[in-house]
Amino acid sequence: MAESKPKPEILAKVDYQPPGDDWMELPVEIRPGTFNYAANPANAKYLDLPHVRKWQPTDDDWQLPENWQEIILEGLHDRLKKYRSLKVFMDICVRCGACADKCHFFLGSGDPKNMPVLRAELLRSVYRRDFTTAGKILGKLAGARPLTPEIIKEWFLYFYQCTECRRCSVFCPYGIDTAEITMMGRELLNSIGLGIDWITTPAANCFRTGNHLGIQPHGFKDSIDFAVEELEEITGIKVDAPINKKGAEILFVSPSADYFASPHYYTLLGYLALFHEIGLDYTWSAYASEGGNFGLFHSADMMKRLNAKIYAEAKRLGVKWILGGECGHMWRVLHQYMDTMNGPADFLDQPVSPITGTRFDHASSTKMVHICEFTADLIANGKLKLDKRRNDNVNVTFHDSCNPARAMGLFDEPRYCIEHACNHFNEMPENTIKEQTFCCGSGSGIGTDENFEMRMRGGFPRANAVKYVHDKHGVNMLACICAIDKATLPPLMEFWVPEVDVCGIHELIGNAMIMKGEKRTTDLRGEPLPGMEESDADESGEVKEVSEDV
Amino acid sequence: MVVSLNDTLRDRRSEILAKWFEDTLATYPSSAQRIFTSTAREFANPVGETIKSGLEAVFDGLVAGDDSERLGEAIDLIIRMRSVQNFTAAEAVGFVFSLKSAVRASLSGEGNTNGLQTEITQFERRIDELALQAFDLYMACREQVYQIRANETQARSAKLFQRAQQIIEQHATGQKITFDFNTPEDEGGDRQ
Repeated sequence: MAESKPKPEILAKVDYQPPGDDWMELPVEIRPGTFNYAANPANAKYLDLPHVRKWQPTDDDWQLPENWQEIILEGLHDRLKKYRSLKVFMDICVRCGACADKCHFFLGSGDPKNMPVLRAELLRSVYRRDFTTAGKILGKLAGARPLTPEIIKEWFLYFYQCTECRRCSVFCPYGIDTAEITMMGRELLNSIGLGIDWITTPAANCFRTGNHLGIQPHGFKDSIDFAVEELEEITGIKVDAPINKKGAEILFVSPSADYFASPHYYTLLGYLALFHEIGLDYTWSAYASEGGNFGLFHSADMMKRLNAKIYAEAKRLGVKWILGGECGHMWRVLHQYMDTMNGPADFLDQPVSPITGTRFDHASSTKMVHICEFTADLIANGKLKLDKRRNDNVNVTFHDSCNPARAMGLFDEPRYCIEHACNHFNEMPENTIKEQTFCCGSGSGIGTDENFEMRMRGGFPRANAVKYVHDKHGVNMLACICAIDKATLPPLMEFWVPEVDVCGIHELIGNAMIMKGEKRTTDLRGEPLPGMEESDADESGEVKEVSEDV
Repeated sequence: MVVSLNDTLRDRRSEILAKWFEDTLATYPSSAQRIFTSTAREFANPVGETIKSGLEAVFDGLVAGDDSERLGEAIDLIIRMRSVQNFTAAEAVGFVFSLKSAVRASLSGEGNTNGLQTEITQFERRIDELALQAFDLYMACREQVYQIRANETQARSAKLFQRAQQIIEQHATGQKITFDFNTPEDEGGDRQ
């Protein structure tokens, strides 16, 4: 973890020379496979974004607004006044190099502009030129440079080659958070109409219908009903999945990919089975039908705008508190921004598990609890019957998703859940997990098809560690608790370690859980459930020979 | 006493591999080379480690006379990695040829290598064959990239596709359709 004071040996490495190398002279290359398409004008317009136009990064002329320099410099000035952290980050870096080899994009590509120090320098060099005396007088000698259209192109490429994963900030002795610099860079780009579609379109859909794919309430209900039917086919149990139920005790919010994408869907089946088994009084919301918030990847204003629906729905439905599903950046928004942005949620109660009576004191202000915390507590209190053998076909390792790991410190609960649901669990090397976890390479809205090669580069350090545990321990399943991970780790594995599949933790829980009255021979994917093949369940559905891990 | 080329190569293994590693790393930007050379911690430098261990395996395989299948396994990860890095096809596989110059440089200080000429020619021919094999692997990786992209697009809406199919089947059999399949509004639209 970053320490409060830099150690002498770090200070001894401080380089007082202007940046060496010729990074400022390196040309900007718009290479297929390594950039993201521009925002669809219709969706940018829907969000009332400024300077909407039809353009693509491959165009020579990006049709910048006439006063684009003024907009950028004024925007930077405003943000320096508004965010003290940005001002500090602009001034304090001593180029000690601690961050240089910590970014997965740099480690996978070797591109120096993916070193966090240089990524920040892209913005810092412009800051120096226009906001510091030394930069105004000494120019390039002081690491300053004038704002040109080429620099804007460079910003567009490299601020969308950062997944805001914050691994570099763990190693910075000054605690500089490059993710926040990227966020500022993206805000400035958006102010002159340079947004990307993979962020703008989901944000517009989310603003309109409450979720990234633009699924409307009847579509949402159909999706959940469809999952209920499938779960009944698998377990023989018809579960209740209430939607917009006023007066329910708990509002459950999960990423929308859980109900339309694979392998997320099997985690959804796991949630439904779990909530039924413990008799939870809860409700889904057809409008807070998305945990994800692509506003985080666009601007603070957009993040606030999209996040507001969660508390609004909690209030409208009259729930006591909120339970959140296996989502990644939802938890960063929650832990670092929601409380001050749209909270405090004084109208909600202190979260208390209705099953175990456990008070979740850490959620006193936000009133929102992570499902892994909730489930770990159920297991710790002996409320679930788990037969680990049912997951004997998988040898699991756990990928700490960047945001639950580095933005909320959720390390133990997911592991506790896995260890109580599976017999075979092996950790990846220490410097690739927990707070040092390597990103999937596709977070923060850049998990696009057109950016695929960049994603394979950025995901290589993660895949390399998975390959190690696959080769050494026979790991064949990569568990994670983030919807972007579940979407982007499967192709990453298919390319680097094809023997390894991807799942969510509540899929493992759902497979291991012995449900009252169940009649099941398959796991949630419809594959044979180890120890529960046809012969193990008699006509009445009674289960023979199961060990209970309670 | 006659010393075979293979014995010489085994003796010079570390020297030749160091040169080959250096030449391969030279295909990356200079600021990256310094970091890719470091061996501080295994998982902190995956590119450098992959190249280093891959080149060692390939060199040992060539000297031991391994068949093309085993050599292909040894070189696969380096090619896979370079197939998605900032290289053209020629740049991605070109490092294979650098082994020739690394071997020649190592032997050049040895005085008369006339007696080894035939073996050197044969060894270099194997390197040429390996380069062609590397190009095949490169192409396979590129084709895989496009296949995975197609699969990924489908997985992202897997359950919606499945539901849509169900609706088509319901319609075909005259059953009552209970669901209006949702499409984004015109003004919203899909991605470009």
